[in-house]
Amino acid sequence: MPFADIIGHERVVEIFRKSIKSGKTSHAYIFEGPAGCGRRKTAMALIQALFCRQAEDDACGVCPSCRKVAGNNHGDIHFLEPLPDKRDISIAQLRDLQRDLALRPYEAPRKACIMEPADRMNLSSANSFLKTLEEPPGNALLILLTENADMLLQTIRSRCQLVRFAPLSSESIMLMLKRNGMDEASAALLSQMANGSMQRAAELDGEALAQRHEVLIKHLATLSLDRISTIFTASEELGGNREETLELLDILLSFARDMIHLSSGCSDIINTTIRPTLEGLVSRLNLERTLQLAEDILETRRSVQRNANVKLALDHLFIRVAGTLA
Amino acid sequence: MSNGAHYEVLARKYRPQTFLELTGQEHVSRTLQNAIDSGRVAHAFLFTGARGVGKTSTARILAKTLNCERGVTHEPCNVCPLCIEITKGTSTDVFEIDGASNTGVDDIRELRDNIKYLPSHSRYKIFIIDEVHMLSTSAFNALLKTLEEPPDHVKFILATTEPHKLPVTILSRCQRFDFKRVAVTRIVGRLRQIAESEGITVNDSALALVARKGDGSMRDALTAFDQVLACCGSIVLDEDVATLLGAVDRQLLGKISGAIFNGDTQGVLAGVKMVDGVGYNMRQFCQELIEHFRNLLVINSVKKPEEILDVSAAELDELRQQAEGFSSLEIQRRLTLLIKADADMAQATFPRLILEIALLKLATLEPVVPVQELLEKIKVMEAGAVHTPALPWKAERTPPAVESRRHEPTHSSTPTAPAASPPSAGPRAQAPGSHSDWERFVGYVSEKNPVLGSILEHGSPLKQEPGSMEIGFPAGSYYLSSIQDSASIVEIQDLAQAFTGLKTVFRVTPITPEGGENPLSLVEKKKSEHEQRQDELKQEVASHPVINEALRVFGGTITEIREA
Repeated sequence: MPFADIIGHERVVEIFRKSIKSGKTSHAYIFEGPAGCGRRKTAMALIQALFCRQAEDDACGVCPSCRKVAGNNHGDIHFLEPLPDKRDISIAQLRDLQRDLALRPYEAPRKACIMEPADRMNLSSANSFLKTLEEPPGNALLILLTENADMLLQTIRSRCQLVRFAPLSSESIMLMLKRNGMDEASAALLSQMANGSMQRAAELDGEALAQRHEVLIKHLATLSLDRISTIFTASEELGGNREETLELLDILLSFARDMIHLSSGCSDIINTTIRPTLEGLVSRLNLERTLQLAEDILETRRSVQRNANVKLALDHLFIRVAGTLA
Repeated sequence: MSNGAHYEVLARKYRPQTFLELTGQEHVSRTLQNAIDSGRVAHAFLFTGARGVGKTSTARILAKTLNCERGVTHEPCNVCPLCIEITKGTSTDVFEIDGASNTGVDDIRELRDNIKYLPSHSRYKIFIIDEVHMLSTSAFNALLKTLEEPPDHVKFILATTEPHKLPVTILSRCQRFDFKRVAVTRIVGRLRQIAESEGITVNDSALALVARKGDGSMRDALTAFDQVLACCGSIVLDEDVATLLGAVDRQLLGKISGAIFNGDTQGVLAGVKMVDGVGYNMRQFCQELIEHFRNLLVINSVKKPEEILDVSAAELDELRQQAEGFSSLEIQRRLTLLIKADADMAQATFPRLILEIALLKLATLEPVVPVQELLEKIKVMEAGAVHTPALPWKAERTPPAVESRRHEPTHSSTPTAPAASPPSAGPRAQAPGSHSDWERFVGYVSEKNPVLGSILEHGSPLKQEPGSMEIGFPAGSYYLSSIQDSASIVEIQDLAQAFTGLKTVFRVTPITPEGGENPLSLVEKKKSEHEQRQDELKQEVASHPVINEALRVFGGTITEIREA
């Protein structure tokens, strides 16, 4: 995919185009940005443009090299990610990479490597990468993708140019969803819910999502400390396994965020479809309590991520929410 | 298109090749040069310091000076084949080993086997072990003997960012050089040189921005500069630098902090929206905001902030205006909340929400009331109270002050409780005549002489006047017999004099426990207070509806009450 096809990162692409034109691309980059915002696509586009011998500051998209990169079967591109069922990128993988990079490229002017997620390098593998990262053999191009560059070693960061990817705007997501053949209404809803990630937008199912919102808001409205059964029913029906629960908490967080905005007099909210209900909830609370609500949800999310018992965590959250709403 | 051409990033292209070019590490280069001149070159060096301050570069320069064809001089010639080989990394006698990739003991054994052979065509065989902190323990230990007494033709240079990870046995065998962070002005100077040799037009304020981005590291600054040059070409404008490096606009900072101080929640959220729209990193923004609040705090706390802060006069005026009307305490509280938010954001997936919550909290923070004011209010309330406590000491003392003295007797007078200055603050003429004075005196004695203090705790203060003191002890008790010897009495009199500032006569009287009219000793008092508290608790518990209900449901009894 050439640069021209990348949506939503005009500024980043512009910088790359300029640096390719002036021949001043670095050999090491960190692409930082939320998952699914297009970091990998941009990385591929950059490699394609640098490999292609036709166009000036972009890939032509038709030469053999470009087609191979687009088809994901170019012999000079290495992908590095944690081995299946492993958490970290191991030092052995990096040694292999260093050996591969030392070889002459097959057809491209230089070798390239995309590492994702780079923050999965452990201490020893990250350290063993430092020398390569500073002076790669054959001027290889190294691109590290991460969601949070602060999680990389300072010595790694200092050797790379940091390129930040902003979350995709909802307009860009809507545009892409419509290109994929989605109807206007669902695209509008999903693009609001996707939190700037195309990947999330693709995973979310528009209709089911709207239904879920409704169920959730219904439960929220009935929560009451006087009838304790409402709390347990809610966590019984809404909870699920860890991933589903995290998703649920994300939705709750987006509600909380909207309530905070409404409560502080800002009418720009995400969940426009349930605005009246949210406004109803806000009218029962002051700003301080709304903030407390959001913090409770964040705290629950953290504990669920840290392997807390999902049901208990939800019970606890709903009790607190009921207390706040009362 | 130039994709085949080899572009070297600035940090590599302008890697210093002589000691003269090495920026900001004069203390290292001078020492090394003097050592070379006087022929006292050690056989093992350890270079430590933050990332990108010149450790590896210095190691290479040192290797070149030692092996240069022109003889061991204090600058390498950089033109002889040997120097060029080292620069290129192809020298057969200088081994640059990646300590983090070759961590095992086998790698070190290989190195040891290699060491005994003479260098092929240079003076020394030089081993540069970079990132040496990653070697395994056994690898370190395998290196010890060689590192201590290598053959004459071998030099070791170890380099690391984390010297604390090296065993002390390694540290003690090396000459250690700590590299400093490079000052902003020095980085600017170096950037200026580079800009000139690259033919780039750029003014000093832009360079300063780049240099500050480096945060003490030359390589970080050069990487940032590279990024700027890649985008801007040969004419670099200030605003381009600011956007490229994601430096947060000071106006935006001012706007948001203004909204925070005015309690304008809507303004705060609008500000965050703007920050996100421009594409700043939320965490970076939070850190800038912390810096901003720190500036405000400094302005509020010191007379001449311009000596501490690195801001222009116009900015200083603006900051002054903002800081006006807010106490340091108010700013500090907000700063604390921001720092917590920053820590939360490091591992969170919703940085924007966390920032929004934190900023709204800052905006809606209730104003604080100084402790002094609160204390005064309490005093007023106490004075107005009609209720006279049954026990005389209760009204006379301020409980927290006595409490704190009991636990930490050396704690000196705090501004929050000036009314009750502890005795250790200095001898002062006090009229000992009340229980709290007695208590203070016992506390003072305990601090000076714990044995005597603990005995006095069992005594009842029968009479206390300036210059004399009469203490009763139970007749026939151990305490009476231990206090009655003359040495103890003299000691207590000395202490009493130091405490009250008056010469004091100390008398001990045996008393009978039955005589109910004697004042309570401290130990008895404590006991009675404890019993009283227990009674209160019992009453409270007995009247608590939930506990009663629990007792009824389970058919239980209350056996013990503990305070959490």
